[in-house]
Amino acid sequence: MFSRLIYRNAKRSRKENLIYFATLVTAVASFYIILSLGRQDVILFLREFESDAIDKLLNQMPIVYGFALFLLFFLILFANQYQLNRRSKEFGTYLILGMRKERLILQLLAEGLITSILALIGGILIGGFLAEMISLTVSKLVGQGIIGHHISLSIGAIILTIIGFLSIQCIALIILGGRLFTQEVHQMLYEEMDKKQDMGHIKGNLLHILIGSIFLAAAYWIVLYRFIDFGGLFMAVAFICGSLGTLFFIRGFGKLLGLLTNLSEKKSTKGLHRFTLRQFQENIANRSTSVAVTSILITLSIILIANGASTIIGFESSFTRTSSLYDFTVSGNDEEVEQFLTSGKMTAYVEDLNRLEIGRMKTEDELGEDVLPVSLVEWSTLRDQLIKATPKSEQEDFLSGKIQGYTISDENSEALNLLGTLETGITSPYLIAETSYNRLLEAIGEKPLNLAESEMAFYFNPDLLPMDELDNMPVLDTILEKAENEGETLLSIANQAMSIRSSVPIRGLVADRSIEIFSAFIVPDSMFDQLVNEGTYATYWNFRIPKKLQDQQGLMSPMMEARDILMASGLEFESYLQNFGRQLFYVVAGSYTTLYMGFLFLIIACTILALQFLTQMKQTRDRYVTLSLLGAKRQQMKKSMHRQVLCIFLLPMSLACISGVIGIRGMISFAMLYFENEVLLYPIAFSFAAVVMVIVVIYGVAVSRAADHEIDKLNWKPHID
Amino acid sequence: MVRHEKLLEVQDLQKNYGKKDNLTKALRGISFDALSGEFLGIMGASGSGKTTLLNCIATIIKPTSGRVLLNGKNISAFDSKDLAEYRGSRIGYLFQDFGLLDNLTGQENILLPLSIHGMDFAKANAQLNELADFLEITDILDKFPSQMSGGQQQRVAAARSLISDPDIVLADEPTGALDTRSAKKLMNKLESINKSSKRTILMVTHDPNAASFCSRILFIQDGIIFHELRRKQGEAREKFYERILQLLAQLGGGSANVL
Ligand SMILES: Nc1ncnc2c1ncn2[C@@H]1O[C@H](COP(=O)(O)OP(=O)(O)O)[C@@H](O)[C@H]1O
Ligand SMILES: [Mg+2]
Repeated sequence: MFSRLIYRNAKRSRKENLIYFATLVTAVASFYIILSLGRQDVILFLREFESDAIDKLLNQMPIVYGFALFLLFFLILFANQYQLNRRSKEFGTYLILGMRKERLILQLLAEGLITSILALIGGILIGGFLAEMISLTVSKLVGQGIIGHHISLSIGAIILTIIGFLSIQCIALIILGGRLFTQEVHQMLYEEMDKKQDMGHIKGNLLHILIGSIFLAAAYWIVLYRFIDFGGLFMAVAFICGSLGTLFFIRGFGKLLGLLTNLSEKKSTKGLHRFTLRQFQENIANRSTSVAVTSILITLSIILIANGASTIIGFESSFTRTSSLYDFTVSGNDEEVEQFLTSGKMTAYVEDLNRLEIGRMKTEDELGEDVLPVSLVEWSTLRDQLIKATPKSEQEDFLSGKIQGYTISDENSEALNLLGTLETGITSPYLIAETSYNRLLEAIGEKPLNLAESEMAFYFNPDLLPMDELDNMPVLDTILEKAENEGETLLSIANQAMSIRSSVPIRGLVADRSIEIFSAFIVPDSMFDQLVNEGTYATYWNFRIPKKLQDQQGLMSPMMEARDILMASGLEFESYLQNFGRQLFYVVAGSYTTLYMGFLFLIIACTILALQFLTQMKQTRDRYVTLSLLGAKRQQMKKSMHRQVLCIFLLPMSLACISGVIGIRGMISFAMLYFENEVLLYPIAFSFAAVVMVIVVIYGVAVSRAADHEIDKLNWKPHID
Repeated sequence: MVRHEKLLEVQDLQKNYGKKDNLTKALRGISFDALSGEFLGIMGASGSGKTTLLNCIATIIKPTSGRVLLNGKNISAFDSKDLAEYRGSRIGYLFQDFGLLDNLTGQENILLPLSIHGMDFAKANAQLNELADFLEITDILDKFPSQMSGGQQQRVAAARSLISDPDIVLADEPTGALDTRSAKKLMNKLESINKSSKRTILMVTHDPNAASFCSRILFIQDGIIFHELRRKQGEAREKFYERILQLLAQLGGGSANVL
C-alpha cells in the first residue's frame, strides 16, 4: 500500500508538473548529447585526418561535461525545490496524520527515483534522437555524401549519463530532504509568499539603478574599447562589472516599477492592468537576484551562440574554395609519379595534371660563406613606391621604425602587406617556372602568360596574404602599370632590368600545404633553369578530379576513391580533403562546445524564470479566487497571467539583448569574432535567432498554459468563472 | 434603478455536500426575504450552515435546489457571464479574512472592482475620498495590507465592497478576526452606512455583539431557520444585545450549545 502511494504520487507529480519533469528530461538529454559527441559522424570522419586534434578535443569533453553537470545540478536543485514547495501542504498533512519524517523523506527519495528513471528513459530517447539529428544534419551540411552515417547511440554515454544524472538528482534531494527534516509542520501547511511589500525608498531605488547603470556602462565601455587589455584580465573585469550592473539595475528596477505604478494613475486603471503590474513587480522585486542571474545567463548564451554561429559562417565561406584549385598533390620521384598518375587505375581520376617546378633563387656567390648571402634582386625603386602607397599612419610608423618585423594581416593596407611579404623573402625568393604556372592558368581557363625574355610576374599565396580579389591587386597593379607606361625599372635580377606583368590571376599552387610560401617570382623557363638553386629545386604533381566525374558523383566520393588508391601506392601525397578536414575541425571544435553551452545557458535561464513564475502563481493562488469573487472573468485573469509571463521573460531578455549585442560588437571589433561571409551572415544569424526565440516562446507558452490550468482549477467552487 | 421592496428573496434553498455515502445536508430548505435598506443578521452555531447560505446567495456555490432572487432576478440560475457582471458590482463582499490582495495598495484594492468591470474612474474618485474619509482610512490608502492593522484592513475591505454602489453587501463574520475595539468601530461604520444611504447589508455572524447592530436577526440551526428577532423602533443597541443574549440562553439552555 505504501509503495502504491509512492507510485501514485510519482505519477501524479509528473502529470501535474510537466515543467518539472521536462526540466529533468532536458538535463538528461543535455548530458547525453555532450557525452555522445565522440560518436557523431563528423567526429568519426575527422578522426581519419586530424586524429590528434580530435583526441585532444575529446579529451576536453570531460571538462565540459563537468561544467554542464555543475550547472544542471543547480537547475535540478531549483526544480526539486519548486516541486517540494508545491507539495509542502501535502507533506504537512502526512505529518499531521502521523507519518514519521524519516518515512516521508524515504518516500520522497523513492518517488524521486521513479521520476528519475522515467526522466532518464525520456531524456536518453530525446537526447539520442537529437544527437542523431545533429549528426545527420552536420554530415548533410558538410559531407556532401562522403561522411558515412553511423548510428550515434553510445552505451558508454548512456551509462555516464545515468551515473551523472542520478548523482546530482540524489544530492539535490538529500539537500532538500534535510531541509524538510528541520522544517516545522506549521511552516509546511501554511507556507506562503512573503507578505512583506518592501518597496524601498525612491532614493534607494534610484541609487540602485544608478549604480547598476554605472557598472553596466563601465562593462560596456571595456567591452567596446579595452576588451583585450592586460591579457584578458579586462574581460574578467567586464564580466564582473556587467554582472553587478545587471544585479543592481534589476533590483532597482523592480522596486522602481512599484513606485511608477503608483504614479501612473490614469492609464493603469483599466481591467487588471494594475494587478498585473503589481504581480510583475512582486516577482521581480522579491527575486531580483535570480532574475538578474537569468539575465546574465541569457547574455552569455547570446554571445556564445553568436560565437558558434560565426565559426559556422567562417567555415561555409572557406568551403567555397575560392583560391584552392587542385584536389591532389603528389610528390616524389618524377618518373615514378608520372607513371603512376598516367596508369590505367588513376587516369579516371586525373585531369589538368600539372608538374609544378619550384625552387629558390641563387644568391651572389662571390662572397665568403660566413657572411650573410646577398640577394641577386635589386628592388629599391619598387620598395619606395610601395612605401609611398601605404596610408599616412602606417607610413609614419614604418619610417620611424615603429613597425619592426611584419605581421601580415587584413587590418594592414595592401601595400604594407606586400612590402612585408616581399621583404621577408627577398634574399632568395622562390621561383616558379612559367610553363608550370601556365598549366595552372589553363586549368582555370585563363590565357598563358607568354612572358618575354626579361619579364616576370609576382605570385602571392592567397592563403597567407589577405586579398580582396584573386585576379588583381589594385595598389600593386597601379604601380606596375605606371612603371610600364613610363619605362621605369622597378626591379632587376642579377643586374638585368625586369619588367613586371600586372594582374596575374592567382590560385593555390598545391592541394593543401606542401608548399608554404608567401610569395614567388614567376619567370621564363630559361631564367628559371639559370637562376634556381639546385638544392632547393622540387617538383609537385598536381591534378584535379575530372569535371565529368564530379558532375556525376559529386566531388567528395571520387576524391575518397582516389585517395584510397594513392594510399595503397605508398606515394607521398596530400589532398584537398586534409584542407577541408582541418577547416571542418576548427568549426566543429569551435562551434560544438560554444553552441552547446549557449543553449544550455538559455534553457537554464528559461527554466528558472518559468519555475519562479509558477511558484509565485501557486503561492498567490488565493488572489485569483478573490479576483473572481470581485467579478473578474476567467479570460480576464488569463490575460493578466499571460501579460505577467510576457513581462517576466521580457525584462531579463531585453537587458540581456542589449548586453549581448554590445558583447558581440566588442568581440567583432577585437577580432575575436568574424563575420566574413555577408551573404551567409543574415540567414545564419536569422536562423539562430529564430531557434533562440522558439526556445523562449516554447517556455513562455508552457508557463502560460500551466498558469491557465491553475486558473481553470479555480472552479473548486462550481460557480466561479 | 427602481428598488424592489423585496430586494432579496431566498426561496426553499437546499444545499447538499458530498455524494450518497457521506452526504451532508448543509441547508435543508431556507426561505426568507431581505427588504431594501435592511441590515439583516444571520446567527447560528458553528456548522449550522451560515457560510453555506451566504455563499449560495453570493453565487460562490450553486445551491442543490431552491432559488435566490435579487431584484426579482433569479441569480442562482445565472450563467457564468451574468455572474461575473453581478459579482463585485451589484453584490459587494466582506470576508472574515478580509480578502485583500496583499500586493496592491489600499487604494488599488478598493478600486479593483471598478477596474475589473471597466467602470468610469473619474466619478469614482470623489466617491473613494468620501468613503475613505468616512471609514477613516484616508491616511493608509497608499499602504499595503501588510502595513495596516486588522481593523484598517477590514475597513479597506468594506470600502471595496461599497465602491461600486452595490445593491447588497454580503458579510461573512466580518468581525471574526478583529479585536473588540476594531470590531465595534467597524460595526458602527456599517450601521451608519446602512442608515444614511439605505444600503442593504446581509451579515452572518455568531457574535451577539456584532449582531446587535442589525435591524433584524434570523437564527439558523442544522440548515433551517428556526427563529427571528426584530430590533424595535428606537430600541437602543444595548437593549437589543440583552435581548439577543436572553434568546440565546433560552434557546440553547446556555449559549455554549447554540454558539
Ligand atoms: N465544501 C464542503 N464540503 C463538504 N461539507 C461541507 C463543505 N462546506 C461546509 N460543509 C459542511 O456543511 C455544514 C455547514 O457548514 P458551514 O456552512 O461552513 O457552517 P458555518 O459557517 O455555520 O460554520 C457543516 O456540517 C460542514 O461540515
Ligand atoms: Mg462559517
